[in-house]
Amino acid sequence: MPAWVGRRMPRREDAELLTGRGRFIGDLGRSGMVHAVFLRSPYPHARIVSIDASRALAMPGVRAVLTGADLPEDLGAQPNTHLFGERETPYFALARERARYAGEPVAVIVADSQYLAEDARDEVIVDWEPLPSVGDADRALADDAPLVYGDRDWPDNVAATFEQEMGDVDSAFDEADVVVTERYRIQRQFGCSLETRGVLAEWDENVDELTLWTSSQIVHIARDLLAAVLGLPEHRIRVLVPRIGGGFGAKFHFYPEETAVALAARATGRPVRWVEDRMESFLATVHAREQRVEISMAAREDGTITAVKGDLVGDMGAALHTVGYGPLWLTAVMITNVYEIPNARVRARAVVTNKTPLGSFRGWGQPQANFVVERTVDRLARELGMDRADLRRRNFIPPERLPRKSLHHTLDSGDYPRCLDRALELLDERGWRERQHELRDEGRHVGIGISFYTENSALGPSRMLNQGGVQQGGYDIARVRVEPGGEVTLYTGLCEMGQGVTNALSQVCADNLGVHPEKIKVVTGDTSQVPYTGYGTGASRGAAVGGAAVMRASRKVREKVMRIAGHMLEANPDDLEAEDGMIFVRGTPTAAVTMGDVGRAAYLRAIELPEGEDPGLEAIEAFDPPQFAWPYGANIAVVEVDVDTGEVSFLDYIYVHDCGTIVNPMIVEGQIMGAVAQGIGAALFESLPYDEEGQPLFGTFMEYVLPTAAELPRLVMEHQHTPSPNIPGGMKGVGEAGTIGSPAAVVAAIEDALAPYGVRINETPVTPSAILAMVGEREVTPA
Amino acid sequence: MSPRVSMVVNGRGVEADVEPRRLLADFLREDVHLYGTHLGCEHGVCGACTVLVDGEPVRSCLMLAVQADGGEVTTVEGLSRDGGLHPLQEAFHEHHALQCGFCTPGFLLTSLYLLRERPDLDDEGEIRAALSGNLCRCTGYQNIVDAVRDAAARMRQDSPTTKG
Repeated sequence: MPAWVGRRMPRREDAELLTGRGRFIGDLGRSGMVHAVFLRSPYPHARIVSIDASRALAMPGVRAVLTGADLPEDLGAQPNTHLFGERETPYFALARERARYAGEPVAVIVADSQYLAEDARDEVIVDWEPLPSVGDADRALADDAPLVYGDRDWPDNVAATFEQEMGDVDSAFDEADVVVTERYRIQRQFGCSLETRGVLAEWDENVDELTLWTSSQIVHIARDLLAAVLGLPEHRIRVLVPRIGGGFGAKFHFYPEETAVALAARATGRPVRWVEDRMESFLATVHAREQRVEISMAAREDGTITAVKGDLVGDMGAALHTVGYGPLWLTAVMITNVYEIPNARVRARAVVTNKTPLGSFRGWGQPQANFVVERTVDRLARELGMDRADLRRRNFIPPERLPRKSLHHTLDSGDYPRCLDRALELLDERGWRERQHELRDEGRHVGIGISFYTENSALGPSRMLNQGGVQQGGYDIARVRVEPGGEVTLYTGLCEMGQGVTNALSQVCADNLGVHPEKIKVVTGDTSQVPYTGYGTGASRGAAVGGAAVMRASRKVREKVMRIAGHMLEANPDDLEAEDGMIFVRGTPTAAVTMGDVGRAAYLRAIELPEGEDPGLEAIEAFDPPQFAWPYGANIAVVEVDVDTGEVSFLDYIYVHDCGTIVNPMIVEGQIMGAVAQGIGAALFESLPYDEEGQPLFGTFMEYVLPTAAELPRLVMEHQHTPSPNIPGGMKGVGEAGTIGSPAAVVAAIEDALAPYGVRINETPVTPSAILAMVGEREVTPA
Repeated sequence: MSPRVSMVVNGRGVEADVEPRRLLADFLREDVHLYGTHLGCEHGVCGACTVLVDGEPVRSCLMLAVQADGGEVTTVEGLSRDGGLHPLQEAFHEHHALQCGFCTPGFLLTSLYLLRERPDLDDEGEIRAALSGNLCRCTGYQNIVDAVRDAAARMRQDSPTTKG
């Protein structure tokens, strides 16, 4: 019987964070530490004619200025680990010869304080020769577009084209009763964790070893990529991750600053720390999402969707970063969502522009896929005169036909109709369909939007990843050790970034080992201690893949605990139970030993061990999932639009989902609430616009608008439970889910609210000014 | 030339020579070694660096240390009582009102001020409006709102003399 899995257990790390004792990268210090700042390109595209750092170097307290010219000859380019057959877009720790986006690091300045380093940066003189540049993917595709990689003899700006097809798409379109075609524009956003990035590097020149602290989700990958770039063996690099103030995918990347700060530490012989400035973060941290998508759907009169085709353009910015064009690829292959559409074709073009490189953000390419599919299903419903929910129900893959292969992946399990129906029931229980009519009669603009998502989680089967071009595994390894006193240390390569994975893993360990979670210490974020994790912390894999590995390791240790306890109690190990740190004969709780008794026997008192039993009490176990897991869910947004101000306010928000076995409902709900907030940010507020040449039109939180408590709704949430058939324990993962379906539901609700105006919204964010433009400019009535 | 500043931080006197341009946040973090005050934007929007100066919430990234000279400063480290958690901290813990915890010190200090000013506070809309000057990227705010409302109730119970 699970005692801890499924329990709403408050987190143990809270006390530290609530009292100001959590230590983030900016809180770390080392003896003799100095501070780094970066000088960045002010131009979207420019040749570096010369850099004169002499005045900066002459300033008191300035330790070093490194530029691209100072980089070691044999320094590697920043690697891309997701290779899908694209052209190479090499970029280095510091720009060599040319910068291809505004914000590209050009020099690192090291001084005794950050204030001094910033002063010195102002004295570094760069002679720039600006070059033609392009700030938009559509423009980048034009015949006469400036070439981002003209110096590498690219004939155009297309880094890669990906195509995939199943069935007979053309015939399906020829035979269709109805065809709808829509074009969507999805804006640039980024993870924007409240803590910016940061790096602290210390190079021990006596033994040529590097210790690097970084605010990162990928502790082993960061180490390995540093090793590759620097030409050092992996075991001479130790990467540590302190507390992370949110990651959201943006910290899933390996950045130029990690390499540059390491080199600065070597150059100065001092520990060097860099903490990203917020304004710098808007350009220096990977952006995400931006795509234009044209999608067509073919259907029969009865509402059966027979084919879908998509033409996607990803605005990748100036280079393919750590994950290549992975997110764009994922959008493309998820073009059928949860629907049984037999014919599908996609083409995705990864286009380079003179903008910050595009990368990961919670959900990867899935929010975009969901948005274009779900909005187009709504269009189709309107075209057919069908109810939006009925059309979805008609096309859902029915539960009895799961698992089922879609365009690329195999959706595993669940009951989509039951999930949507429950969400609609809640909508009716809360009276919204009636109230919408009443409120409309009062002249108010109230709308209801529906969307349904699935999520590619538990990433992932290592062989499938490698076959696809990913140069990483998808497994996870856990190490569980019972100490001599009976306490437990759990080592995981996953990083705790606030999502609560350490708490969840301790709950899994507690159940499978038979101890109280309070007795378990979870060690993360140190490559010298924790086992290798295949893919780092992302892709909603912590609970599923990490949890399964912890379950295996815990059970392995438990077997040994039972053998030793059986020997001590003169009982058959099969007759023993372990609970709360006590091991006892089933039905006779008085015949018991403690985990401490077993621990002491294992390490200190071999005399108490069974004949032939090795000392020690720990296990390392890997788990490589045989398949992905596929959580799913329904979002229903109820909004009111003020047509005088363009403001959107939430009247209600319903979220019903299935993420398999839930380890800790409190954490799952927290993940969904936070992710939906980011999806609402995508729908209404967040955007990183550039001008035609690639000059950013943003720079502070006044332009990049994050939602606050005043704008966001209270979620009405329900869980359904279909354990994953492929994951021991049945967890499917949940971290990203809330970002996926929320933009479509919110925008659908706005469109519904504005039905009297007959608007179609194919572009996000839907800002107040966008709404006012759609409903026609009106005088704002003074208060 | 670095002027000498002195102030009381969490009940203890501190004195140091600081450059006039030194931010209060940097002073608290680097000179007083209280790292619980976090810098999330350094332009006064996110609220993570909120501290109380003479009882009023300020963005310590927009205030110079010299401006706080002679003042009384409360940071997140000054919140817990007699080694135990403040009712606000307890409520944040029980309601899962923090994930990464980076913005949390700012929310706690903003809420502390709020509940001192408005011990009767209970309306969700009012709480949301009052917290809208602090950004959180993890929680979607719902649990923070619940925690603040719950803490208000606990604090009313703790001090029955307060008029509801």
